[in-house]
Amino acid sequence: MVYLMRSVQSSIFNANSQSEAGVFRRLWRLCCQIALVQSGVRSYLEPVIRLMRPNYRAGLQSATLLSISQQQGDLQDAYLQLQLKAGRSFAGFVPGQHLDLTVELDGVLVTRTFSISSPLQQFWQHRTLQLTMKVQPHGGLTQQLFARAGEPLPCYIGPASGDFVLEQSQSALMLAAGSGITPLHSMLSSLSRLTRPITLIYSYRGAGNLLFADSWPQLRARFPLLTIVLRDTCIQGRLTDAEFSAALSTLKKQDGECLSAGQSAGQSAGALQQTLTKEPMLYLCGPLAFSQYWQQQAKALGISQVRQESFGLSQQSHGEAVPVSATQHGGTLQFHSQGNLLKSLEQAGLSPRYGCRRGICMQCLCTKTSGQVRNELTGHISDAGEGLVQLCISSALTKLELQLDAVSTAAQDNTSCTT
Amino acid sequence: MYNLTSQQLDTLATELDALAAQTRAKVGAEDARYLELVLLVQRLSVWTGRLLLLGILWSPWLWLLGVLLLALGKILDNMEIGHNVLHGQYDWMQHPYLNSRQFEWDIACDAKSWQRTHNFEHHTYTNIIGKDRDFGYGLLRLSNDFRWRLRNLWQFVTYLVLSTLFQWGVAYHELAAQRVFFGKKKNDRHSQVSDSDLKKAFFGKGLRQLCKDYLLFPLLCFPLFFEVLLGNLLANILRNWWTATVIFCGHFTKDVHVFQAQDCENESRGHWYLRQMLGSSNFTGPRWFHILTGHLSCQIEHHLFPNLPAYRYPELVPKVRAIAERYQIPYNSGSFIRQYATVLQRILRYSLPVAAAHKTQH
Repeated sequence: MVYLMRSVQSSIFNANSQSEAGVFRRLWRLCCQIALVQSGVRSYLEPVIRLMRPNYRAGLQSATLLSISQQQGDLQDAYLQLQLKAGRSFAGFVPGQHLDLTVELDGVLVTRTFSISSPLQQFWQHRTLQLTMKVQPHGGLTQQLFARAGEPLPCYIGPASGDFVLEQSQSALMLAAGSGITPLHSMLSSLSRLTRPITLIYSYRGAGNLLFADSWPQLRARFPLLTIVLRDTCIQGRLTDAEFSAALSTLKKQDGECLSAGQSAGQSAGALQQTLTKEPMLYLCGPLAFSQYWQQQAKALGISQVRQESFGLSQQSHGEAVPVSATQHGGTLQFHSQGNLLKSLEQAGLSPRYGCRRGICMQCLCTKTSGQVRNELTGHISDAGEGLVQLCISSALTKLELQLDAVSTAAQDNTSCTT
Repeated sequence: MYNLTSQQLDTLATELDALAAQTRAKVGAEDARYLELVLLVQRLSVWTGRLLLLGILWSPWLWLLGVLLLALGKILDNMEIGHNVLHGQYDWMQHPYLNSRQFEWDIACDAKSWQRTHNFEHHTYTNIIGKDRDFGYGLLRLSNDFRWRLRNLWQFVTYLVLSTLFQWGVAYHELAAQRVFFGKKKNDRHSQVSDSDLKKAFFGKGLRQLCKDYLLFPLLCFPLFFEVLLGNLLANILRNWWTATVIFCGHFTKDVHVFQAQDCENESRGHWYLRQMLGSSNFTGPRWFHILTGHLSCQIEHHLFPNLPAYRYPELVPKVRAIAERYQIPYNSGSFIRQYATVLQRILRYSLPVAAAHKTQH
């Protein structure tokens, strides 16, 4: 009994949570562990609750998939627009943020991160969200959503997150490429008034790949200070450095006029004028290479304020080493991996758990946060999102992020409490 | 080993790999639904069982029914759910807690400890003398490869006690192997877990379980404290008997083979497959019976494909059997009663110093 008390005490009072709420939460978890052998009531009751609510999943927020519309673009590209109705506990979002979408496909819970593309007002009025995504040639989820549009697929969304949001007190130059337009569309269509100029340069490949075609004329009409440049790269080519500089200087000029107009209109000049930033903010959203290139250009031009978000699958390696970042005991190690993952982790100086080293015992199972791996036994290639991998029979195909420590169920139950 | 050439072993491996791939391709929504259904039945039987224990106020038969339902719930939790989920058979679902990393089961043994001794040691070194401690659990002498000791004389009684306290045997298994409390440390054992962590997990999980069955639930039904306590005890014992019997029938039947460590060094995949087939035994029965055993009645298929959902094993039985016949590998299968009888025979036979020569020894 003494041992129990000690283990009870240590499991309640140890580690990070010193607060009273934390103690109660741990106590509650211990009670669940004793009475139900699970760490939460909801996860224990999930199979029973699902009798009444078939889409219920403990720790996940259910969302209703209202519709999937397809846009068949040029060059075999296709886009999907998902309309989702968020559940009661979804707290809302700031335009520009992204969220985790989990869809149950053939019994598998597949999770991917997508930017919200719809205006905030739409969420306030109807509690609906729109996610816009490009159908990826190797993307398991987008392919499936494309093929199975119309089926009632169980969907779940996580809380919105990310700091790629609009700074309204500054002028802005926005560069978007391809489906990188989605968070920017959410930002611009959520605007209710505009006091500083914004220039958007949106590059897309072929007229069929222009997203939100209906929105742009409306936005132009609503906001005189908003300049929208739609650039079909098939016709006009890629945005050049010179055009970028020109757009920047026009924006600065416009901003200067705007500020002096405000001054002459007698708006509390002086003090307020001091606090306004004259420097425009650069927003970049597109494929990794695109964002990286313009970030460098911005640096060269002396633009210090840049917000960027990039996406897309990294290039698959053909036998060459790929960068891996592995987290264990709170520390993260970056290294290059070639061939077997378990071996290269050990060579890098980490000590992952292992057992049989031939894919039987699941001792080396760990969480892959992102990246693709190949199963050396079956040849199966994983998708790029979060999933469990057996290190001893896997090799990295793309840039990889691994979490070697087991994430406790408690953490998951806790997040479900806060969302 | 056995009379297969290394080429034959390679083709055997290719065939079995293909069979696994074929089955894995079919795994999907149906398997997820099945697991969910078993979970539902498990939850319902446990709670109906616990409520019916209170029925002793009306009739002892209600109490007995409660005990049986509670035992059923525990058996489903341990065998069809726990054992299989902890093997990673359902990891493909990417479910937040029904996976081999997160799941915890209603048994005294800590899930992680069991995964190390069972998933790793037992499934990797199946029936290798000295490496697979599941062969006799360090308590029973089940082949002539082990030196006879005086205590083997009464090993049948040891077996009965082990069966009755089986969950504690399983919980203590890794600590015994690491000589945490008694005995001299063995140099050849590597462990990635410290003795203090082993102790913490052992006492933590064990005490939580004791607390649940013999304190919390009896106290919740206070005037019926002893009736509920007795019901829980009986349910635990029934579950222990059942799991021990199923497991013994899967590995200690008369014709099961044992192997020497030197024969298995740097073995090929085909050799490992062969060893799994020779080292396990099946028993037959209706579908509900398979479910109650967690499909360990298809122990051969389980040992060949420990990571495939167990629900698929019955459909693999004829296919594996056909492959075994083609390679003239003995396929050890029979009725439950017959297999169990040979287990008892084996325990009795090797309790004597010179056991009658056993033809099936490698």
